Amino acid sequence: MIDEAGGTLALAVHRDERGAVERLVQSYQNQLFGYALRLLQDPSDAQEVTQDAFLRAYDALTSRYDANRCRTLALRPWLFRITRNIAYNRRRARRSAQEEAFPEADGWHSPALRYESGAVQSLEMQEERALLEHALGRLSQTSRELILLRFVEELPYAEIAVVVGTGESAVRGKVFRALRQLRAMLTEMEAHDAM
Amino acid sequence: MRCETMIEQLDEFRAGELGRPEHDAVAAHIADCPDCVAALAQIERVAALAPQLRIDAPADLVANVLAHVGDQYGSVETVVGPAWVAFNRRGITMVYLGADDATTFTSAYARRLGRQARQNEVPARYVQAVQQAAQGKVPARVPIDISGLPPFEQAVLLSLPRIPRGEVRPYAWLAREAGRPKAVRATGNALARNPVPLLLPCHRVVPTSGGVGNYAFGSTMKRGLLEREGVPTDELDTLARQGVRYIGCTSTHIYCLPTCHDARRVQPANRVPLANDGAAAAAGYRPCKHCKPALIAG
Repeated sequence: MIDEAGGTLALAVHRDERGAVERLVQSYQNQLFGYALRLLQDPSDAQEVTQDAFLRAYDALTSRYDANRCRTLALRPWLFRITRNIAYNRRRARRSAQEEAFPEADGWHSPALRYESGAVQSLEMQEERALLEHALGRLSQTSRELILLRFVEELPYAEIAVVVGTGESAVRGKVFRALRQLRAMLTEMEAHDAM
Repeated sequence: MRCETMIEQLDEFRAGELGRPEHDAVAAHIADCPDCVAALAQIERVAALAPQLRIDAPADLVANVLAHVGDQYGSVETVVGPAWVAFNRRGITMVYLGADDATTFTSAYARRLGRQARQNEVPARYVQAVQQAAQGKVPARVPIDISGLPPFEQAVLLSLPRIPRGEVRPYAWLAREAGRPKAVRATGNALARNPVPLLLPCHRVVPTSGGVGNYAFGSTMKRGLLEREGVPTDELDTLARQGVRYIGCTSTHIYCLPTCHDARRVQPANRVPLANDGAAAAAGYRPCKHCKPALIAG
């Protein structure tokens, strides 16, 4: 699926139109920041990665890509992919810098809970959300990322394939298996809660 | 239909992303498959819940990105007075000499490049490079962005660094280097509009007939810049008055432009002043391979 509006926005950035960069950042910052935060588990790292991703996108659109390439660009998965590359590099650098004294460096500590949106939520919804968050934390890195891209950020399979760099049918299979694990966990956790 | 083939499509079925035939096939299957109905219900629950895990970006993210894009400028103190230096993420876009106030500079910037620039601190390595260039030293290597200019102007400007420090070349020489030997006048115009003087050394280009010639910021400044780089400007004036364009060497039978470092090594006794390419050819001299003096258009 080609993101039509994305191509138009990419072209506006390419042409250095007034306010185009601002529109670009405002359109995608929440998605990219949320994604980076869940990959990195650290808000200031996630913010730096997101900013860097936008600047790299800006550099590419204004100097390396010609107008035609901008027009036909599937902007959203491209931005996700840039963010992912930077986040993975950073995580790798951070890991090699860290001592192996922290084997649970990959630990999931629910960053979202410190980032409550202002919306008032019912107690039941909060519990459901916490449950999902907890179940996500028990998934493998790969499965968690796919669930995030598919269900939190609501990307179509074709776009997820671009982001993670595999074929669409492979993504479909992986998402399915991740979903099956997640469902099993939710069922198990609820059974545990009910006791 | 078997569950295995259907179950992977349940999520797209839920999201309405399947094509008509696939959608109908899944719908027919789940009509009598309780397992898939249950699976679909759980997928729907995850899908309903997951958007609550969305996170808003910090409020200052937009401003932080914007602070790094677009053109910026600041002023740099140099030996030739204040220089306004504009830059973007790709490199230096303009060096502007001879203006005391920012307004003169910003309007010149908008006129020349059609863009606005925002005042900000100039990166230290850019400051250093501009100061070194004004002092006649070899400047630190810094990126320069002239990507918005017409291709021929870019070709002319990017040929400038081939003129060594301490030497000068005629306009016709630069026109040839830029790939259009007959476009001498257009070359002159491109140089007069050079947005990045000092760093793209247009002051090292002189009239084909000799002498120092004109400069966008005055011939006095040009003369000063060349002298700090080690060019003997008085000698250039003298040679121009005498109608001498080249220096030949009687021992090697090679002729050079007067400021070529090879010409300066010729012993005084072996030096032969030459008026043009014809005179050099008649004397049996070949052009120097360093300064490449033979002017095709000449």
